[in-house]
Amino acid sequence: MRLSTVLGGRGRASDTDTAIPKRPGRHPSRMYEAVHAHPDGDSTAARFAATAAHLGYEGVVVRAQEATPDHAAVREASGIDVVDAVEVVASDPERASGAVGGLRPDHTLLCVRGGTDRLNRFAVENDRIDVLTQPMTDGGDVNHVLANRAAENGVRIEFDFGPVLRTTGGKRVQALRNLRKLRELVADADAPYVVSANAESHLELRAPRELLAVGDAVGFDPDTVRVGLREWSVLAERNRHRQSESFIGPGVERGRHDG
Amino acid sequence: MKHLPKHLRPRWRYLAVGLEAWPDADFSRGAFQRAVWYAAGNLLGDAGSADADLRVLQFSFGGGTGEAVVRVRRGEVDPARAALACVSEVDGHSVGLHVRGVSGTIRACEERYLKP
Repeated sequence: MRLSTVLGGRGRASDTDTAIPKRPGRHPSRMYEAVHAHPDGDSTAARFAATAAHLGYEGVVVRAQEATPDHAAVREASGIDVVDAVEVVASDPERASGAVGGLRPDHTLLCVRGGTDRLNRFAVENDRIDVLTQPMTDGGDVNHVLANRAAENGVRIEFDFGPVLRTTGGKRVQALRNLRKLRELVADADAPYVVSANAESHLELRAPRELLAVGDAVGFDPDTVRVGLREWSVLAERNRHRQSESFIGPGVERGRHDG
Repeated sequence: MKHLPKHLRPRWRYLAVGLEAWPDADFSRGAFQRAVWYAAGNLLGDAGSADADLRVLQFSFGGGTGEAVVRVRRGEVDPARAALACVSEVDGHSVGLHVRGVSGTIRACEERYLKP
């Protein structure tokens, strides 16, 4: 994965991430959860951050469509990291493409909601997109070609645990079937992924250990879920670094030189 | 019936569960127990649900927050945790819950994890 070369290659670059309140050096072990804050969801970003801190997360990713929380204030109040993310929800790739170009420079993380074959394809073929969310909802599908493209472009595919936690019966069976298919494809292509409960209110948040247990019950290796939750923080840290002034290109940085 | 000799009695673990809901929500122990059974039955199946043998022993809820002690058979704590995580509604009210901790006795569970 090309990501590791970018992350591994930097030495004292973490001093640019002053926005992260706790232990900036320990990036791989931090579990974050991505949420839908008011007005996209029912709870405010501050409420989400407080609950997530209580549940043991070290950060929340506010994946906004309409929401515009004050990230710094929420970070200050909750004591955990709050990531400025945006989720593009569009009906077709043409519209999504315009939004991606416009929003990319202003936000740390950029997600694109999948759900149709064309949207899924658009997302995995665009390396400016960080995460393809909910690729299997509403009849969307992923195959080995898309999974391989996601691996090439470093686009994270989201495992959406929401329906497993909050639906029952046929809907849940369908969601589980889709998750299993996605899991097998992602494993085969060695594609990067993230895990989220897709909470729309703070009541829908679940602690990391609970998600690990649910994952275990539906066939996910506990390590897979753990890596998926950590991937949000890895992404946030990578993008903050890339957007910082010292970064010029992968492996090329502006720094102090002696002499 | 004569009670079982000690080595044949089931061993239990007790989960301290913190509950949260919207401020106007109100539900009883029975409703929560039903929700837990349904969640376990749906996620783990009848067999897994019988193995975990989840029972709500203590329950208090008011003003949008609450706590409960849930008994589970020893060795089934992780499936029980998964089943509890899938409780998203009780009596039509959405709830958030998380396992604060696990103890080997009810008393330890209360003393460590429940509010005095």
